[in-house]
Amino acid sequence: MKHIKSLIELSGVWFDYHPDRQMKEQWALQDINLTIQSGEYVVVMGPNGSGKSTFARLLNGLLIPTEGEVRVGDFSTSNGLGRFHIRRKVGMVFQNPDNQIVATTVRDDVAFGLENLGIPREEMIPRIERALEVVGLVGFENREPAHLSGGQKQRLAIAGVLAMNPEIIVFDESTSMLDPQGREEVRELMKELHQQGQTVIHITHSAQEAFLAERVIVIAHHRLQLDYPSRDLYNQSNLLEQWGLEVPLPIRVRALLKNQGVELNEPIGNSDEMVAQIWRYLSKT
Amino acid sequence: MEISFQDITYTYSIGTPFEHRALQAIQVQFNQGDYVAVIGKTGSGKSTLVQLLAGLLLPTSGVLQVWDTRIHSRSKKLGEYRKKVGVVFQYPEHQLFEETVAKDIGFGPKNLGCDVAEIEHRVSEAMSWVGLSPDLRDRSPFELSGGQMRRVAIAGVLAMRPDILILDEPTAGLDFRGQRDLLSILKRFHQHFGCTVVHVTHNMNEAAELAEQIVLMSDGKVIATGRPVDIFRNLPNLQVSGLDVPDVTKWIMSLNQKLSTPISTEIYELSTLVDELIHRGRRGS
Ligand SMILES: Nc1ncnc2c1ncn2[C@@H]1O[C@H](COP(=O)(O)OP(=O)(O)OP(=O)(O)O)[C@@H](O)[C@H]1O
Ligand SMILES: Nc1ncnc2c1ncn2[C@@H]1O[C@H](COP(=O)(O)OP(=O)(O)OP(=O)(O)O)[C@@H](O)[C@H]1O
Ligand SMILES: [Mg+2]
Ligand SMILES: [Mg+2]
Repeated sequence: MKHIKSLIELSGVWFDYHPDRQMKEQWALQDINLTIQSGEYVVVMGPNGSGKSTFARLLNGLLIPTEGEVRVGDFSTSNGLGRFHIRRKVGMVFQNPDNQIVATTVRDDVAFGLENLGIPREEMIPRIERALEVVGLVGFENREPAHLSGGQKQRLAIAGVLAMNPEIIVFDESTSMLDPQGREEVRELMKELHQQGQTVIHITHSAQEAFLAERVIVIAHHRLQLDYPSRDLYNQSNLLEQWGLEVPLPIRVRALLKNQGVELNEPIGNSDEMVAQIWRYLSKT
Repeated sequence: MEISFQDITYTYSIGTPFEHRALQAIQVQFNQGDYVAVIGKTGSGKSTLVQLLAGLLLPTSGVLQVWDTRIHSRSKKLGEYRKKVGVVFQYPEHQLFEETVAKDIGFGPKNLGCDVAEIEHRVSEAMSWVGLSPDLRDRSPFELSGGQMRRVAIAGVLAMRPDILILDEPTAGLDFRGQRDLLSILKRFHQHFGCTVVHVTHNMNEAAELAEQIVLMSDGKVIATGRPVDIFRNLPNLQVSGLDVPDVTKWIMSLNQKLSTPISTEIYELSTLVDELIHRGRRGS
């Protein structure tokens, strides 16, 4: 394999919203060292208040490390010029879509980001149409964003970032207000972006979503606690439980059965393998 | 029936280009003390329905009868009624406004005329129910993570001890342990205070586990009501509504494809499923 230069690099990053008032062991993020390569699909999990959204805001230069450095490509978020370039590379879907909605119609809201990038008008129109189509908001172009339902707002927030077609997309709990079909659509979308070579970083509390990524990172108590390829983590997902995080259903069933003395020793890699294993257990008399 | 929606229609922004009919011919009844889950696709009218019940929107036509209060298009003075109803909004940021977390949670009890000691008692109790560390008492509610804000909003409403407790997607954004803990608190709160709970959710597992009655909405109409087993038996109805069966059900269904005597799909709790599997394993099925 040829050597690939890291796309994102955090070295010795410490951050707090009020570093002057807080003791260092209470800072929002502590001693984060991490690299992400171009084209990776990474999930970030962690308890509430552990620092995930703070981490996301550090990636696109919305927040700047109190100590240490965040580099994206050839740029650092610690200087103005670097942030200018990084904001174009890193698109972020915020946890609360209200923090992202700026315009008075759905169409203008998606256009806003494109105008900032200086995209010519004739290119903007198809991009907006395409993005609204992907998130299922065709027919909503003239609606007022403030008057959308919760899930519709979340879809709009996703469309706004998709239209900009950034090299790196960070989704901060962007499926939290969607119905099961909507969630499935967004999961498919992430997969497609990944297949097209974009770098996808997805913050989520859902184990089902986590194991679709190639790599799972856990931030807990303001520090990076785990960083595993997801296929290695599946059978050790009790590690997730330790941080109060969700473990996939088949693994939970298996653990409960084993607790009661049922012998299920072969590792499983997905739900189907678990079904097969249970079936064998039920069939042997 | 103590709570009944009688042929209710709701149209937003009447007489403007944004006019939008969100609810149509709603007929639905609950008993005092029921635990009701409301499910349905994005934009199907769930939040509108619960805002009517909260007395925050007035029906365009039809009557909402709650005990001895009749709510219709020209209702006035719902102040006393609203004191009996607590609402956790879909985006909790919309309801936080005090300077500190403790004042925010204490606002409801204070408004209800509780004395200082009682307010203090309810605030501490509610914070521990929702898993908020006492360290956060004096923090501004706007300087919190998404999941922490949601916990504050929920605590504020529980501290009111309302007769009708309305929760619009209360577990969205909570970490997994937080979701599980909240569900068990809601169950206990409902049993202990005998309040009517109306819980809007995209999470079918929650609806199946908690609800005595489920209201299924599609396109501004109620298309089915019933016990969880009645609702989750009707797969086509769920699929047109953008929904799905609970994860446990899905998993039992795939196991049943291999079994000659199928496992009941009326099992929603993991522990019950595990008991059933062990029972069958011993018997040798
Ligand atoms: N604007 C702010 N000002 C001050 N402190 C903040 C602010 N936003 C977050 N914090 C604090 O920083 C820490 C990390 O918050 P962050 O939002 O990164 O958590 P998170 O992991 O995204 O949590 P969640 O799962 O609840 O969204 C928390 O302790 C939080 O209270
Ligand atoms: N203030 C408003 N003005 C005009 N239309 C609105 C307004 N609020 C909601 N709507 C529309 O009414 C319909 C129902 O919205 P509602 O918020 O009740 O949906 P919901 O079922 O809660 O959806 P979600 O699951 O996305 O939260 C949607 O099509 C929405 O766009
Ligand atoms: Mg967050
Ligand atoms: Mg809603």
